[in-house]
Amino acid sequence: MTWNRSLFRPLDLPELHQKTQALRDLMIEVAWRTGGAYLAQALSGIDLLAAVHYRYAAGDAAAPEAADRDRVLLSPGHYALALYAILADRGYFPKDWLWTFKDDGSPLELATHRGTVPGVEVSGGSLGQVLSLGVGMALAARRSGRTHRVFVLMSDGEQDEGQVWEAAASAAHFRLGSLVALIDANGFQVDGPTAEVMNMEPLGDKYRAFGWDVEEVDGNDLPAVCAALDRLTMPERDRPGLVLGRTIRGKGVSFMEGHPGFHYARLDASMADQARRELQADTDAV
Amino acid sequence: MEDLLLAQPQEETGPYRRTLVAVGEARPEVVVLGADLGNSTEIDAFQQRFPDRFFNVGSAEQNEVDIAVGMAFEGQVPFVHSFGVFLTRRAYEQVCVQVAMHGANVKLVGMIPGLTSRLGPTHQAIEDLSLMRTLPGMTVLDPADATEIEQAVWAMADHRGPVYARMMRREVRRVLDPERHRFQIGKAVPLAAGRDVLLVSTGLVLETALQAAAMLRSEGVSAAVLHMPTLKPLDRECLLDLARDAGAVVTIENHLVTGGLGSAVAEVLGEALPLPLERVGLRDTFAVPGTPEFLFRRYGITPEAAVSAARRAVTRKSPR
Repeated sequence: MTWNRSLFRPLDLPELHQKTQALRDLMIEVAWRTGGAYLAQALSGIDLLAAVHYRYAAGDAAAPEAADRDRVLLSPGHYALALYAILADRGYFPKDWLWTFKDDGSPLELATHRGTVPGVEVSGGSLGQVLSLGVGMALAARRSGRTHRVFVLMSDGEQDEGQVWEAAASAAHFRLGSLVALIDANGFQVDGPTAEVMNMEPLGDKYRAFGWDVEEVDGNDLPAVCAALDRLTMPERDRPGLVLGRTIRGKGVSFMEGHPGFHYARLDASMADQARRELQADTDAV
Repeated sequence: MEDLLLAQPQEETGPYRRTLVAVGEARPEVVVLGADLGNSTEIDAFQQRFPDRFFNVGSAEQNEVDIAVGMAFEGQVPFVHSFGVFLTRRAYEQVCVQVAMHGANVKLVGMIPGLTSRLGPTHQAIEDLSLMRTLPGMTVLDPADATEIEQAVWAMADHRGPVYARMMRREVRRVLDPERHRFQIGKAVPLAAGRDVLLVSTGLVLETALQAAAMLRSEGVSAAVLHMPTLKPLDRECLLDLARDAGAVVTIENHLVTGGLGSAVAEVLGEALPLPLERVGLRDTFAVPGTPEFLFRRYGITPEAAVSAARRAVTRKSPR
């Protein structure tokens, strides 16, 4: 049977919560077993990305190139681990591949590249370009008479790139209501806190001024994220939407939360063990 | 060698503007992107004919190139326009990591080649061929005249993969006979046979090469002429065949001698057939503003300069 959008079954909120905790556990296991990963940002952004993937972006591993699938584009390719964990969980590739993460010759590279594994739609390693690709995809969808959506996950650090604002202006100009961006605003970039390295706040006001509908929420609060996505994916919209998700680096792991380190995290066995025990306790408490 | 040249060169207005509309009629997947230079890049007629397939992104070339890539990923065939300088300088990383790295089916059209801009060095694309030629998988074109523009636009639309093409606008010379010339990507065009020296040109300086060959002939030097509208992939076999017969080579280009035609020919000769080579073009300098005629004289991209280069190359030949 060929896949179509009506076959997509979104997770409900409790299921999504369980799922994000399981994904965190999986990412920590991968980071530990494979010697390291960009983990802090994967943990801050996983709730936003998982909400999109499991509830809003219609798509299926059986038809990763279906024309009417929703597109989910990852702009900061360094969040690869979060996307790989989701794609493996959803069956886009065998879960075993996760243990080859960033090995020479592995399809799972340190940053995501289009054409490496199904479900990775774009190459996001060079920051600030993918919102433009999303604008192009949304324009192409309109030209083809298709109604699927284009979701783009960005980081707050990459808002420094001027091209992001070229893309933001054009998305509103072309009235791309099918485009929904999410920013994992964890407040850090490579050299330190975004407020100190290059302050781009207030981001919400900037996007509003560019003609976007902005939902500013706690990006690790799944009901809030989903309520925002509910509003921004209403039919017949003609303005691009932004979920500005205020998140915590390393979310879910006490010794990483808000810590400026772990941009590239090398976990030892005891750290991985502690992280996974905390996640288990949190999951059990729900 | 078939005579592909018109007996009397002509001048025509806007061959690109006209051809783009014709291609649009026949190829519904072709879309056009512009960057606030509608009339200046001759895409205004396409816009009027196909408003739903035309996207003006404003003067934002980085966004323009990546929007085109997004559209190409979804099956459209975008033709992306600006002046050559802006597409290749300002949007270089976008062209590199999104267009070239993915082999995206995007056609980059850089208007006003080399020294033909009146706005000075900010607008003179003198290293665009170099920048584009070095990108893996990029096809690079520099058509010579109206005939070749008309044919190259169709070839670009039908070619699957990224292309950068220099483009001329407004009054454009017609030198090649449209009835007999057949432009093909990757095919060089022998235009005159000769046994003493081979003149190789790309783009609009084809006429410079032809005039130089005639001047050399009048002084008893037999000069072959090879026109290479495709810089990449370079027609290596054809170049080597003619170079072997002539024993010395001169390149002529509306560009720096580094990175463009001169370098491409030097690479082939250096690897396969070391011969005396002289290169005519800009030499490690930006140009001042001015009319094309003034600039070509000032920077020595003239028939006279090509003749001198040919004499030097012939002198350097080892006795046979």
